[in-house]
Amino acid sequence: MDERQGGDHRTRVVRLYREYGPVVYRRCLRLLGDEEQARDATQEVFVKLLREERLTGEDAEVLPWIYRVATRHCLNLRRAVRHGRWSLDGGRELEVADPEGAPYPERRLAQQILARFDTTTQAVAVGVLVDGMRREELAGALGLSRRTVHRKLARFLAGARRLLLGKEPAP
Amino acid sequence: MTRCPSDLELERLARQPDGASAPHLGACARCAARLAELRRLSEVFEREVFLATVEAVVAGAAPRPVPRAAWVAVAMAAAVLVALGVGWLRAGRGDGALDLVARAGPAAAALADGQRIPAGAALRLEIRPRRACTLWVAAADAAGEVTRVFPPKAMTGTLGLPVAAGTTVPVDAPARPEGRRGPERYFAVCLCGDDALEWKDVDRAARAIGPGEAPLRAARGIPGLPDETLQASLLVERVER
Repeated sequence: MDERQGGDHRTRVVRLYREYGPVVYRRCLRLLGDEEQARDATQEVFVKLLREERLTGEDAEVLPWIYRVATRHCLNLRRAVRHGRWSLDGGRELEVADPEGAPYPERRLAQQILARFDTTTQAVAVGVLVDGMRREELAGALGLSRRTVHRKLARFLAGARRLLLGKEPAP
Repeated sequence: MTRCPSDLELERLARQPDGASAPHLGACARCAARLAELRRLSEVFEREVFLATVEAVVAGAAPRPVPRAAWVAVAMAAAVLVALGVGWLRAGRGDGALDLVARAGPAAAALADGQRIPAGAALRLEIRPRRACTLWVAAADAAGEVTRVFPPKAMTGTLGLPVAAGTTVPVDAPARPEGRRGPERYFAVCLCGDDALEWKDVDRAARAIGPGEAPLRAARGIPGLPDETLQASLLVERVER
């Protein structure tokens, strides 16, 4: 890469990072609950976003995509932390919102059992129970069908109930 | 709009307010607080995150042409490894992105594929994916029996272990019960992406190899797993010593 190309690259990255970096940072902070971890995750997520060259579209397309990439990255990070590969000193539990339509017992279960499910199911559960998203909106943001969102959420809640009764989630 | 917008909607509305949402955002105290927090975090980002990370982001996103000399060095290194027979084995789909080496003790030499070992020997496996993925290790014998080797159920339940790219995972594989003899194959499978690969899926697919020494010796990978699964395997012949 010559000097001019390097300058163009830098200018473009700085502009995009300044514009969309806050969106990524807020999402990472929301899921990780720790400012230092969120800062590192923001940097990592943004490099991923830049490599896919999709940050130049309309907000209606770009924001859900940022949400999807950042959510999956942070959920994977949380999962890795739980398995002891990194420390997350000071990290807080997910702060469950008060979404309309999510009964209280389901919200309470979410924090306790999230770790037992795959990342996609976690993303669905977090989207509905933590972010208060409608199923249609979440399906669009995660790139899933509404049917898949419904099925994964139902599986998550059924598994949560089984875990609460001291049983393993159904296969 | 009568309901509170989700976090994602709020991000969009903060950037581009629309007429439909204005009445709600103007009247809802909770949403007003959320918008204020959103703006506060934008300032935090600009003040504390942007300056500290922008250079790393610029560098991380830069195109990385691979010098020709590097390709030559990689090819020479690969040739040397093959010539030395160090025992790294790559099999299955993918681009050779999962390495598996086995030793009959922490300081022992790496085993070659098909090597004879004492029936009662425990093994130390070292598995290294080149990409981030979710790891399982299974063992199969000529009786068609499939054993979950790693991760233990107490660690991850029905799911595998997420492993970062380039991380070497050490796995202790115990000796087979009662010092049984015959071929035994260790399979490392690692699923890339966000989908889940549960133990029951690995177990079912590995059992499809079926009983018999010949199918086990020939099976370099577990058939029927998702395309994004990296695989490597190693065969040992357990003999009486």
